[in-house]
Amino acid sequence: MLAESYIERILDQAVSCGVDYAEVFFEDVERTRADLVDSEVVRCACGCESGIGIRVFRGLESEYLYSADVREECVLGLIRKRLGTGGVFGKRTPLSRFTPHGIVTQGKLPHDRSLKEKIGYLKEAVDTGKREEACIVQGRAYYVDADQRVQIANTDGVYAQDRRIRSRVRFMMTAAAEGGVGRQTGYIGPGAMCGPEFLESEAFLGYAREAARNAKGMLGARPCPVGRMPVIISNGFGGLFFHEACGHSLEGSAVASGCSEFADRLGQRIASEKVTLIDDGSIAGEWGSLGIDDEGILTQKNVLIEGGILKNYLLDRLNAKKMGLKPTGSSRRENYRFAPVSRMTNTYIAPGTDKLEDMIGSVERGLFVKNINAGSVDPVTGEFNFNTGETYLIEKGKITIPVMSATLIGTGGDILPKVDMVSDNFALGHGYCYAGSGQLPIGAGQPAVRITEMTVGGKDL
Amino acid sequence: MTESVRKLWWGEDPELIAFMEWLGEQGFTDIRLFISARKSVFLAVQCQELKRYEYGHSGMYVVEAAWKGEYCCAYASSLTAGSRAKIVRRLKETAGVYTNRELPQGITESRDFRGQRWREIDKEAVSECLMCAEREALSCEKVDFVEMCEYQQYEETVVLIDGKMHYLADDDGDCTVTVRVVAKDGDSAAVATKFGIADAGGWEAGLQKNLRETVCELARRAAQDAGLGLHAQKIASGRYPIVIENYVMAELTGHYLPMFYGENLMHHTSALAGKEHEQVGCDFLRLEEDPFSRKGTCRRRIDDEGTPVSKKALLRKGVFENVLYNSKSGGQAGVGSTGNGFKPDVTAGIGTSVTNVILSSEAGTCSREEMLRSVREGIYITKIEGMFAGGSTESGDFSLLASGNRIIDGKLGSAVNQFTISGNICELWKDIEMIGDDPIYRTADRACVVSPSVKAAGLMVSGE
Repeated sequence: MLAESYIERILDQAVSCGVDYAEVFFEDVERTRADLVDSEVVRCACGCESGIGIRVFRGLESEYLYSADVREECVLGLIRKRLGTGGVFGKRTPLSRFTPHGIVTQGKLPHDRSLKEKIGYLKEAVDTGKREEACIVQGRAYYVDADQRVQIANTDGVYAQDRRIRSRVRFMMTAAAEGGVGRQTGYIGPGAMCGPEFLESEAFLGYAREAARNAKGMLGARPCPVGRMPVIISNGFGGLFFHEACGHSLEGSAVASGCSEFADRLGQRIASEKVTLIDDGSIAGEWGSLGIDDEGILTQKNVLIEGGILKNYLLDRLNAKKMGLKPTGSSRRENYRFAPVSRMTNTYIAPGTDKLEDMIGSVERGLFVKNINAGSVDPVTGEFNFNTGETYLIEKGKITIPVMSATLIGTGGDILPKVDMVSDNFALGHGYCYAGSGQLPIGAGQPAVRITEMTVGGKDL
Repeated sequence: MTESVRKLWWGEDPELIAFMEWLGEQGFTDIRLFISARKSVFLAVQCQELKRYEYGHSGMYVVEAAWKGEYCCAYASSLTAGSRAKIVRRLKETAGVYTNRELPQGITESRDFRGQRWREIDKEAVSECLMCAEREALSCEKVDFVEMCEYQQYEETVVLIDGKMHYLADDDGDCTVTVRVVAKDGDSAAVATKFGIADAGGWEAGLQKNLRETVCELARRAAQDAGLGLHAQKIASGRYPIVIENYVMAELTGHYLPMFYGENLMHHTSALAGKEHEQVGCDFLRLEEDPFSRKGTCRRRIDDEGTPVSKKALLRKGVFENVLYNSKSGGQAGVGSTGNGFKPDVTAGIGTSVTNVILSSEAGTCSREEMLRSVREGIYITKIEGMFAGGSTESGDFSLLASGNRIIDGKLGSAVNQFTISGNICELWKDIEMIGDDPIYRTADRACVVSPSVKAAGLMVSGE
């Protein structure tokens, strides 16, 4: 890690360029990745990376410099050359240390287990998944762990260090119908803010089994019908639906420039009364959590929508400044090469009181989406899309046949008021979000929800 | 590091020599070092002010070697004492975990393929060009806001060095501009994004004029397209003939390139598995990789394993002609690398990728108007969303959010949105009836895809 006195010299150099605000972000990360197809290690990458990012504000203009070379002559030279000199010498508050939330659960570090031990766990899980169902013809595992240490300091006097230890696996199990015609792949991607305890947990082998069951369940899937129909999205990573339908549209970069369908709508009803949307980066042990955000602000529980009323946005320092509001501890970046912006952490819908059986029983003809692969949104128009994984037809109040993956589309403004049932079976899933400041670990969760009607893109008229 | 990798003679770099010798002293043999150094600059203008300026450089050292006769690999972003110790620990840890991995090969002859990609820009002058483009867009009818008006430039240098300090060096880079315009009329809003190459080759006064013209033209086109998207209507579900705009077709094509990768074909995770030398597209469809094409933006002459890149047909007259291999998958197939061993990201192991891929016709081309005239009732697709999740290279299936315009009696009609198009890429290739004369480039991961617009017999549409 960098010496505190060196960080102070960087901040001094930055304020000498006449800026209003300067911030230093340093990271030192060690990662392990291993990809397996059946028992073969097809790709493996292990190593370490470090670098520094320096951000300054002049009014509402942001300038960002980064370097993998953190030697003093390089960093100070970069600031002098790129930010210039002169102007009014800015002010700097002396640094004051504070302690982030303790979000890393359990005590082991990634390097407490060797790579060979980790691969052993992965092979056992892939084998377990393949044994779970006779129809499984291939098992794949994509594993990653990271031990990231960060230092964040700024001219407001913030100085903090955080250590983020993450582990995640994606299991993909492929089932083939008899005769080899027709293949389906089941997928699950759990992650956690912890070290090798993740691999050693009871649940780990269960994930591979679940991916295998998903694949088997989808064998014989028929083309998905097209048109508008009621849709029930299952609990867990189904919460990605709200991540896309409204989460991105509530981020500072979209609302501060007025480019979101939800800009200037605080206090207004934007969803049905069944919808309470929360983003919470402070949950211990969760894949999308942080002890402090990447601007050195403590993460917190942010209630964004309460009973359908828009209560808050996710704001980083710059966009909060533009809007005259307070930052919400939501600023994130993939690594030192990215300037931070407000992004989601663990985003979820609060549980309701409806029962899943009643929800399914209420649908004459519609879709039951058991899991979601991924999606995207254009915050300006609110148009979102997401692709379903394991999906079934509901006919006369019962789940009947599996259907091939479908694309569900709509706009946040149109769909949020159509959430008319929310169940009591809350769960949180894990994945990545790709946006302006890079690829980030996120949690997405919900209980099962019913949308009265939305457009389903399939192949069957 | 950036200055270090700019040295012409790698054998004279004392830091690298010392590092390679030190690895040997630690007991590693068959050492090969991969160095990547990247510089980038980014500017964004909004409301006639420079809103974001970013500049930086990053790099990575990736060591491949043998430890007690077994392949090992590790990376670090610097060669400090702490990083060296981590490299050695991780190299020893990875030895023996790879399945069927051959030891790194030595380099027979040092070669330097680097060009001069990087241009120091005048920040104020680039900002002024972007502001000019913003004004240009805002002067167009119905344009409400320019959400994005950006300039981006990068240069990546890649070097491979073996234990005898033989080296291969190459580089790549480009300058691009992006304009995203929001049009509004009453309650209706529409967005259009345009990308372009701003590779002006330097930063003298005349070339600055080129950038200004390029970005202003993009702004005008984005404004025009956004205006055309206003008051979009819903469309009834059904099967429609379609004309797919060049930029959309390039995105579709780029997404499905992994279907040609040897490792995916071997692992049956490609929809083309078992279809080599079969007809998978219409009989005038050509898809080829051409690293030397002036249409594409990629300039690499060797891949990340040091194998020379080469021109090859992927589809010729609609027949699946060539598989793309890196050294490992090529070795497994018994044919060797095709010069397609590229890292998906700098810290990752070698995967498969391409340089410039060009979709074209082997039987003449048509103008966009001719394609539209051939459709009595159909849809002109100008935008798709959801490719990442909604397009499967394993099955070839896709189901995507789309928008565009109706085609009625051969002419463009009202805007349509909030519908999906579904199909299979091989079926779409077979259904192509006409190929346009308007090729445009688009980047896909590290590759560049060039495609004209196409007309296809039909796709399933889900709307109302």
